[in-house]
Amino acid sequence: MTYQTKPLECFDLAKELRARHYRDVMSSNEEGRLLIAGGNSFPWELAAGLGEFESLQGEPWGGAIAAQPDLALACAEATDARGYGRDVCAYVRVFWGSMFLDRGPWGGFPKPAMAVALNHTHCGAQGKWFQTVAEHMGVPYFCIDYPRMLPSGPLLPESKVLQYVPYLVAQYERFIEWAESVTGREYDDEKLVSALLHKRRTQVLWGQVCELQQHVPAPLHLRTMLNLMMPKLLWGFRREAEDFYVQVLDEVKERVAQGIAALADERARFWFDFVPSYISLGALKYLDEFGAVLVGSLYTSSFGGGCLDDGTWGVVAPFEELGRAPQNRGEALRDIAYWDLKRDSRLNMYPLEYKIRCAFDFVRRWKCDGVILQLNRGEKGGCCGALETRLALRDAGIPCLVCEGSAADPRDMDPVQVKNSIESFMESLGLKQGSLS
Amino acid sequence: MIKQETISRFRSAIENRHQYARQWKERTGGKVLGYFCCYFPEELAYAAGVLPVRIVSNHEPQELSNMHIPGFFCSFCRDALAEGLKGTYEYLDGIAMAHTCRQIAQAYESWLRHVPVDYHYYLPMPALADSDFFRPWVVEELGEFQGSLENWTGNKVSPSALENAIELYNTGRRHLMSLYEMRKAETPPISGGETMEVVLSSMFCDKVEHNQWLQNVLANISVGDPAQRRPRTRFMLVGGEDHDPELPHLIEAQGADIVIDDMCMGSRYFWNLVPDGKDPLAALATRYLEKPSCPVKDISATMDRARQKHLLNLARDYGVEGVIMVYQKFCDPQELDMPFLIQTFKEAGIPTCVLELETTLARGQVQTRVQAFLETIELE
Repeated sequence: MTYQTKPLECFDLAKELRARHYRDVMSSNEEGRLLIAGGNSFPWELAAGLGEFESLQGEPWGGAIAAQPDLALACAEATDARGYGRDVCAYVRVFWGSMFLDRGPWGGFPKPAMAVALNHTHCGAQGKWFQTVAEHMGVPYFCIDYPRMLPSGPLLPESKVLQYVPYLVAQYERFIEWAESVTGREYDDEKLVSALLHKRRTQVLWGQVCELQQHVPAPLHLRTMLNLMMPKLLWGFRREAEDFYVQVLDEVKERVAQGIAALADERARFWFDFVPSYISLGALKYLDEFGAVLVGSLYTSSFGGGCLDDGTWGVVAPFEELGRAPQNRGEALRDIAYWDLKRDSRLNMYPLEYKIRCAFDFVRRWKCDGVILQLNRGEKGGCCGALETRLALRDAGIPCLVCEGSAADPRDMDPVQVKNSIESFMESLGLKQGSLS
Repeated sequence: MIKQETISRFRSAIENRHQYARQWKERTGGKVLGYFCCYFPEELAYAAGVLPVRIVSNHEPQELSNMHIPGFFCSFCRDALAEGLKGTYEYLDGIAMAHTCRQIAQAYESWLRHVPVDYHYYLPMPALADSDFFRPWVVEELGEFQGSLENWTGNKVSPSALENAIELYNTGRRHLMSLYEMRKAETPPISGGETMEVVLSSMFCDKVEHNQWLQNVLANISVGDPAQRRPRTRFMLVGGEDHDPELPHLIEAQGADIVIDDMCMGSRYFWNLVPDGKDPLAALATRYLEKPSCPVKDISATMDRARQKHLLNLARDYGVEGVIMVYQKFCDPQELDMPFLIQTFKEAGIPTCVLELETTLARGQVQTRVQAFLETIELE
């Protein structure tokens, strides 16, 4: 069967928004705007109460470096030369290399006014990553500790989540006090509340886009989703992000209604675990030739929802559903903490049993024929549970392919090997080469 | 100096640790709980009548864990899991850990999935070294853990039982500190390798028994006459979950003394005492929050690195002339810390040598590197 395809109209807008973000980042010092370096997992809506600012986020900056192999290699080697291990996460290494060399995808490395981190234990490097940035750049640093819990039963009880809400809220309060003293700005609670409302709406909208991928044929490629996700990653707490995702959702709904596919001859569907790194995308595109489409990933889904109490994945609940939106700082901070702990964007750090349950749910409801798991060398948090997930899926008769790669270091990524693995995997599933797309 | 027959008891306790635990169970009828990482509050388990034993790897090549943990995770977590999968720890009634690095947590989760145990407990433990701020949460967690142990064992942990366990563990810590104190001597009476055997064995034995052995050592050890042995270059060993006494023995065989360490299986295990206090859980929380940081925990909300200061103090107090930094290949926490520490020691005028470890000890390579390091120090 051949499906109709057509380019996604909001794709170019996503690219333009991303380009504009980096123009703003690069000009922030010249134009006197506050620039904050930090990990993507930091609750950036917290910083919105400080007023206007730009974020220099580690992972997207690393991904942008990865898109330029020569730069990525130079940055990785600069970090190697300072004695850091080759097996530390490649995003960290190329980000640091960019800082050490004062070279980046858009020129130099912009000096942040401060560095922040959420040491969220899924990625054990976060705290040290931005501590080192702060030390090297000579700027103040603030780190928030995110608790790691494992349930004694199959699921983490609500009481445990509630127990740790004040743990995070107290640290958020400390951050606000610290940020006021460092920037000399007065914290504006209304801006915090407004940022949280936008963030939640973008999460809900993005979660709904992820759900639409259950449709056959899939309206989007996973690689398209990664591009569409950038505004959410970079400033999902702004109104323009919300406006953008309204457009995205409308367009994807329309594609579903009209049966417009990502791949004209979709013959097989696969789930992806965990981060499809930029440098692996070329190799993964090879799947197109077999009529195979990647319909989603644990990573992309984690920004729009999480594991529900019954072990299935669900879109984060909108405030409308909860009956009341936060009105003040206290309520906003509690909400951020609650959803971060409960089901927000850290699906990947959930206990192994959650991960496995969710993997089965993804395969079932997204109608997947198998799962491709990429082990990015050095990215230990992202790889945790991957092999156990594979074992569980395999035992249930769900085909899996495991391939190794890297988030950003071209030396640790062998596209030919990945393509060979894909070819063998596809052949084992009876899928022949010869795409119509 | 120390007699070999005295030290052989500790060596034997390491070699026969599994047999020891089985016999302890038979003798006492109690339960044995395996744990990962030195942030685990053993005192609570002991107060509940449980013998806590540290789960370690066996320094033998293995492939069992390859299906569960990627090859680019540290060999300690992969090899420790393999020991579980092999059935080496079949006598364990339960396993537990306090949160530390993600890699060991993976070994723990895989263990739970594939190795049957009656009981398991994962204790959240903050990564930031800020005792006052985080203490209330840790106290609450310790209280929950206590309740969980009571349910499991059927033994009520009374305040006096906990205080006794704390005192027992503190006694062991004091003994070990006394032993370490002796290594400040110009010619230390006990080697770094022997010291590692003493400390490591304490993680597998009932502290009542081990403390008696330690007392015996302290009663029979004397600081040697420097005239009888030429003082040798004084090294500090800095690293993580490296527990192969062969390594310090090999380093010292090249003509140096390891006089102090900052290792998970060394001084970081026992360095600070549980302070006196009305509330034993609060005192326990303080001890574990304020213990010398491992690299995973050496992050504060606002920058200061506690480990840097601690290591420089150790280097000064023990007259360290060179630092050997050892780390498990693929150990991110150590790798993220090392360049900073190397720079720290450089600024303090102390040379460093970095050794990367895997499952088995690369004897020839270590020997050559240490010899070269010693030569460069002696030339200066």
